[in-house]
Amino acid sequence: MQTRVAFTVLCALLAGCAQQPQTAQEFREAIPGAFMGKVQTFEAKRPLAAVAKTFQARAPDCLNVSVRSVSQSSTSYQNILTVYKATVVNNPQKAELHLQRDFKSGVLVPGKVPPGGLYYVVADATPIDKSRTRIDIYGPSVGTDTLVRAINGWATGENLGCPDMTK
Amino acid sequence: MMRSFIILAAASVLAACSSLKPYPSVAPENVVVKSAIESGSVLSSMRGAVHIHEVDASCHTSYVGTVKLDRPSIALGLPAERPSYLVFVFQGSSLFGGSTSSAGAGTVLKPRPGYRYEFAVSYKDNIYNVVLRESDPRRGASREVPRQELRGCSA
Repeated sequence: MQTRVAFTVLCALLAGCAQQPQTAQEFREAIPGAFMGKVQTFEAKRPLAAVAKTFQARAPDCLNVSVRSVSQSSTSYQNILTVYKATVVNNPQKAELHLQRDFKSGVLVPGKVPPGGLYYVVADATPIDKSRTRIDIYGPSVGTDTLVRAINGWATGENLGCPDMTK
Repeated sequence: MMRSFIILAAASVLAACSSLKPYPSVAPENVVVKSAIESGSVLSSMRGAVHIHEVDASCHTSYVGTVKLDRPSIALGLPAERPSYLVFVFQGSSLFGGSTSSAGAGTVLKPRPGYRYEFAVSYKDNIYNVVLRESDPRRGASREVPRQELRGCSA
């Protein structure tokens, strides 16, 4: 968690006065060229409708969480409250999972924060054929391993568990 | 929605531990919790527990006690026809100290008389899952019960 917060702050500082992505589409466009941004793609051997249904069932349940991170040393004290918000958008051609996070305390974010918080990860599911689905995940290249594995598990249907967002 | 999920870290967890008490034995034992919890690292440990709260008609909770998930299978009793709020927590700590974290999932359960309930709880590689099944021993029927949030509960 500390690593991810530090990474976010670093990105924000490097971004300077740059405009934060205000929509999922702006986030998709920004990530490929962003410092430590990454697009991961994999295939799920399930139809889009099944993937979409699992996203709808699991994402709100697992990802609408609050994480409080407290660290203290002899010279510093840090208390960060992060509220995550998951949104699933389904239509016959595509299923989208948007994860935003809003730093309620402990982090100063330059630029305008979109409603719901900064975009953190966006996952798109699109059909390859009737029985297979392509998953594209846009997000940071570090600190999202557990989250990406969880989304992968939902997409494939092999693991419906929730990611421990403190990790 | 996952507002019933609260994930806390560090000091808040440690502070909460001081007020924990064992969940009292209630007959009949109508709930079994089967757990498989792995830390995933030799440098850290992971422990599981379930905090049990009573829920009143206004959906307000009152803490009753905690059951440590330190065995693969644990039986406990919840009062039938009265809602209880169960919060499963997974608390990790580093062997070298300095950091602890806790993730959890909560659900309201209002046991039906004569029915049995089984929670399958897992934590592995930083991914956790809590699945509840209800079974009727008289008919042999079983079904998965979706998690119910505390908000909007109907006591």
